[in-house]
Amino acid sequence: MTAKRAARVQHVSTDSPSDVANLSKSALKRGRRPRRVAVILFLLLCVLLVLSLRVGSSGNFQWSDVWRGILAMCGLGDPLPGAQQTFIELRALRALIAVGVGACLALSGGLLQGVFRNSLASPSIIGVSAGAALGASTAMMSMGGYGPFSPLRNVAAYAPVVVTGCAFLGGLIATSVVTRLATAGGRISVPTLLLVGIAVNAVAAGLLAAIQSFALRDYELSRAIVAWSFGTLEDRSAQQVVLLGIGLLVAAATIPFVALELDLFAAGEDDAKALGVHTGRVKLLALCAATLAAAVAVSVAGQIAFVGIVAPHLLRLLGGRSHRSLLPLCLLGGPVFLVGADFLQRWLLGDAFLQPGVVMSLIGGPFFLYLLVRNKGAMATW
Amino acid sequence: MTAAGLSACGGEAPLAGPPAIPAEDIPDGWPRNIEGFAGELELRAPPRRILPASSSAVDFVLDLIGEERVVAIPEQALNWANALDAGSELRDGKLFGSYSTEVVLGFAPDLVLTHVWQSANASRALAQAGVPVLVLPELKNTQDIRLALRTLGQALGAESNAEELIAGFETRLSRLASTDRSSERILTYSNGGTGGWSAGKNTTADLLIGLCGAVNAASEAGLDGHSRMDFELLLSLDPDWILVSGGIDGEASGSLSFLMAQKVLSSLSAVQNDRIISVPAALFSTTSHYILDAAEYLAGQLDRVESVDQVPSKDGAQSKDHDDA
Repeated sequence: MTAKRAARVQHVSTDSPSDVANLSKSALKRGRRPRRVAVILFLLLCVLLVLSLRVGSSGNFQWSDVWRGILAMCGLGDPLPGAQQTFIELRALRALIAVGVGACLALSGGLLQGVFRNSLASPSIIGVSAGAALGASTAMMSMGGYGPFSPLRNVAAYAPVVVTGCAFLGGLIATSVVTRLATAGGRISVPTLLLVGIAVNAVAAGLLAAIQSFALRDYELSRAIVAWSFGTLEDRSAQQVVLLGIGLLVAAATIPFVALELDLFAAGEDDAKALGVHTGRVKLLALCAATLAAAVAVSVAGQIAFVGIVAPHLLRLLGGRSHRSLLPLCLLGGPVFLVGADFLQRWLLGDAFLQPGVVMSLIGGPFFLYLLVRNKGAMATW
Repeated sequence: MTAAGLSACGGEAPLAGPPAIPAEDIPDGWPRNIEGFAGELELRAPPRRILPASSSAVDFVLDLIGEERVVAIPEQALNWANALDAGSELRDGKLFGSYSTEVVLGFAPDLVLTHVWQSANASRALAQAGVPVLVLPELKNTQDIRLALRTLGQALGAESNAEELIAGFETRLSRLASTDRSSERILTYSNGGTGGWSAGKNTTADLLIGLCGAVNAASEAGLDGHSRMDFELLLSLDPDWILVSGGIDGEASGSLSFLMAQKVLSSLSAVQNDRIISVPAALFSTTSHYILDAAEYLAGQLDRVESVDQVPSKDGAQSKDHDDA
């Protein structure tokens, strides 16, 4: 019997029989709730995906055309006439990107909030967003004909892939620096991680500001850089979907190895260690997974704020605080938030083309505030 | 008053200013008041140390009076001004990086020409330091161009040059209008890897397309200002022509390479018919009277293809479109 399991058995065995019965009931209830939430989120996501295929910048499709388009994509029917089938496929690609990015950001946020034992932790805290933004901006500037990386001038045809690649590298480099500087004697110090993260974020933000300031002389370049900083889901490619999928799969594969351990972290790192948790390994694994997930998301879709910090919060309210349920729920909840927000902006605002980062903040912020006020009492104990 | 198109910043309490000019050195017709959008600007004598702070201001000044009285130009003018010759002395040393009060005052100008997009704070501070500042407007129609030339001519003491430029402008406009291109639907497109953009109503690109008599497909679709243009919208608008900006320093156009590399866009008429026009970056982005040069360039590309279209091939059929832009 492992120390962790022994700790749990010992905890239960000290209670009276009635307490045990009550505990079993409530545990059963708690166990069912995340499953119910997962089913609801899954159904909601399916509905949102279909709705997303209906609405787009060229106009709305009839329902019959949406189904025909979906069947044609699956090779089960004739494609829609003219460019209409292409429109459906472009919308499907956009929706897939939103699913992947939402899942990655929410999972990354959930993991980091577990490691930091702080609900305010988000992917940006370890420098991944700032590093990715710096990498992407450098790529854009070089492709625009500025800066020292002249070979990049000739790859403008593949601009989205190049920007994604450079953003991914930037995110990984920034997080590696943060993690390395926060490691002493093979042990990652969480408070140091936080402080180094702030410092690296500041440096990256300064460099980014310098690039933006330089880019002001070129209207199109500065517009591209600013647009990227608000996040974008449009015109993404199949390669970007694949990158996102791989990153998400690898990051999600760590859930069984860190979820229970992160629950034990909640009482403190020393307590977790006393219960047999290999804290160093868990922190490293969770940080690597969070970094990978955030890096692929930010590199593919730019900086989309809010999902990484708020999705885990809301899912905790809906499905409980255990990371064993929270992290898998992030894989459904994040996509629901992002696909939902993207659908709403296209449905309500049409050609206004608000970037997803802006929409997430405008819709999600007030909603989050409402939930915070509503659950003030419950959260006082967090 | 909008037609005036120029705004002036009047000084309140001068901190420092250009050196005073002896009364006997002031020619007839001076001091003069220049009518501007936000009020009048008083110029005591013909300016001798002029500082154009934007690329469009450089274009206007160099074509009106040459470079002799210009004390400095902004660095970006090296890439974006159209009137600056390759051998110009201004390229060597008389450059400044940012439009800020201290930098500008360092050149002791007696007239600063800036653009409406540039720092209003700097313009205000310069005016308070006693330096007359003339703010160039965004050009939205041909009347704005005429008025900008006329007002600048007045401010620089180069009225006859301004009238000459306007006369040439009118002749070129008539020449452009003599060919009917109203059936051509053109769409501007740029994409730096983070999403596409196009210029709709109330943009200089709209004016550029309008000047050559064609239709801006983005404006036609009701887009206003610079708008996002995703693949879906681009495919649904399916313009006859796509207009992209060339790279700086004559480099190849990034947007052109991008468009040609996207499989999903291969069904666009403009891509299939090789009707993507790359306009030199400085012309594409100009906010000066050089917009007419851009329109002529565009018209030249359109007309060349049209004339190729009308040449019957040996078997009597019309040849396919081709544009080497």
